[in-house]
Amino acid sequence: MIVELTEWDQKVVDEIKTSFPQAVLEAKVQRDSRIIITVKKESILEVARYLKDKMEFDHPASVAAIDYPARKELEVIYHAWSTSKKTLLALKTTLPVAEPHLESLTSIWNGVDFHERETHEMLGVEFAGHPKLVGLLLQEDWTGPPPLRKDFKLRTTFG
Amino acid sequence: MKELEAVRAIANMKPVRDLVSWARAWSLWSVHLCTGCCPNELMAVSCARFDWERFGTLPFASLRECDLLIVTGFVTNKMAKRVKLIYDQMPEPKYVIVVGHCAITGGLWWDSYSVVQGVDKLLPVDVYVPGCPPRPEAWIQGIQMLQEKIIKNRL
Repeated sequence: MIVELTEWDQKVVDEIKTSFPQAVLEAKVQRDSRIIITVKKESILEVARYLKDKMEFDHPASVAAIDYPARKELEVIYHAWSTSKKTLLALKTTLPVAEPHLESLTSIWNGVDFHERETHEMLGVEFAGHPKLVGLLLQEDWTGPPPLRKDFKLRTTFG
Repeated sequence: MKELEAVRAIANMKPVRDLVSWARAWSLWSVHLCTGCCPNELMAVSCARFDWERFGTLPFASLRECDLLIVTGFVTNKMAKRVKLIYDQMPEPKYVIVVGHCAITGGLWWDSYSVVQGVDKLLPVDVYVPGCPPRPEAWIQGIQMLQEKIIKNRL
């Protein structure tokens, strides 16, 4: 059974590579039922739509972003789970910190709504096409920079 | 108005004040504002083994009938407004006990972007119970200190 699923994972990777030769920078099976796909940021929408419609990745598990100050880049990671094939897929893309704009995937997976709002709030990624990109977790009158960026200054004195 | 003045005069008599503050001290009903993990100890304190109902303290659901606010855990900047709101809704006289390092100073993440560095920045605090989390005995000592304060102050 596990072997069969791993074969299916490899099939996903191969099919993504052949369908989007320009967009996909890297695609690999990390281990059993774990896939990592790195794409260019312009084509994340079509790759995600293909993954949902053709490859049965129906449950968006999380959206996260990582700040790499040395490379001046933000890496945005979408995790999508396939409930039928029991496989977790990480869809990665990188954005320059100066222009952190990305197409929102709410048109494909409704469930990424709150995750994208949190990522916007905590790391300052601007999701174009999101229906309601406003604060979620921080206080209502928050005006400072995104607090999970590496250059965010924590308090140094007590009181 | 004369009746009211007479009632006030009686209420200000020392034996009456003593009686009232004694009654207050032994019927502290508490709002348990559980923002952290210290309420795990609250369960122990309020259940049979330690049983703080012996001291007249009862965790109660409706905050409009309570006179003791127990803050147990981090108060974030977003929560600060709500803590004030809860405090304002309680009837006078009201007392505040702050339990655990997080609520007293901001705890481990005092330098964070979202944590208030101590509940005493927001509310007048009567008793601090330090610990991470404090033992049930420390909770009970805190309650007893508050009782002592109420009886001695004769509010």
